[in-house]
Amino acid sequence: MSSFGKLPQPSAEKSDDKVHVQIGKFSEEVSRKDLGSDYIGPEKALEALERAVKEKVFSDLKPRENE
Amino acid sequence: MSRPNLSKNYVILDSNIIQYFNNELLASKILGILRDAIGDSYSLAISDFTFFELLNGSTIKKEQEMVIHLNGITRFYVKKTVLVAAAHLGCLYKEDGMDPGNIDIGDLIIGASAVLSGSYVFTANIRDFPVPFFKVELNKLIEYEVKGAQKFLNVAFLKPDVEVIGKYHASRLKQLPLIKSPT
Repeated sequence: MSSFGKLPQPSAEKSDDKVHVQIGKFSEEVSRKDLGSDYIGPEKALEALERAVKEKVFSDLKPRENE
Repeated sequence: MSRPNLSKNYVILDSNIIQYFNNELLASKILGILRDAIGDSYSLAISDFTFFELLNGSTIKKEQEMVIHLNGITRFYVKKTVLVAAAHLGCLYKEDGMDPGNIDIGDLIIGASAVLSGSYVFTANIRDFPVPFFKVELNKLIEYEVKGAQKFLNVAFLKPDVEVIGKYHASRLKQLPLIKSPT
């Protein structure tokens, strides 16, 4: 299966700059690096999901039927 | 321990995408779409809130299995800053005329992580991330079967519209009288 399409190529790798979260007129700076856990590449992440599906790890989940 | 690298580009999986992985055939179609769309340029992430939603109500066996497998995906933490950004997003929707009760807290948290990290959200319900603050980049109708019945699922990649969010946020800040910092 294919032909769904690709997401646009990112223009450049993002810099690891700070993002600002404003609370009223005060703003707090957060490093992008503090937002999440270790980077795991696309191939490994997809493999982890494919393996989980194959092993029926998500078989008990019930999606909300509002789609 | 290696340092997290959020300068990379991410697609955040909405909780409902993983919930649809209960159907193996549908899961394989969704994973095919993901593989096509992200290529080598984007990786996958989930929010800690999705982690909570998936584990909530599960058996101990499933809990253990999910914890092991979901460790293979980058996770976005639900920190104070993310909660503040999620609350702001909810306020902006309210200012745009939307009933706050119509917006799920989990979706605001996932949406805020996308805004702060500049990521896409991949969802099975575009109404969870409505305009004007999210825009559809790609979408696809998937056909599948459940017990012989034909069903359709619309999946989409959404991008936060940071320009519109910034405009609304700036307008909201103008409503605030100047507050002096405590000395």
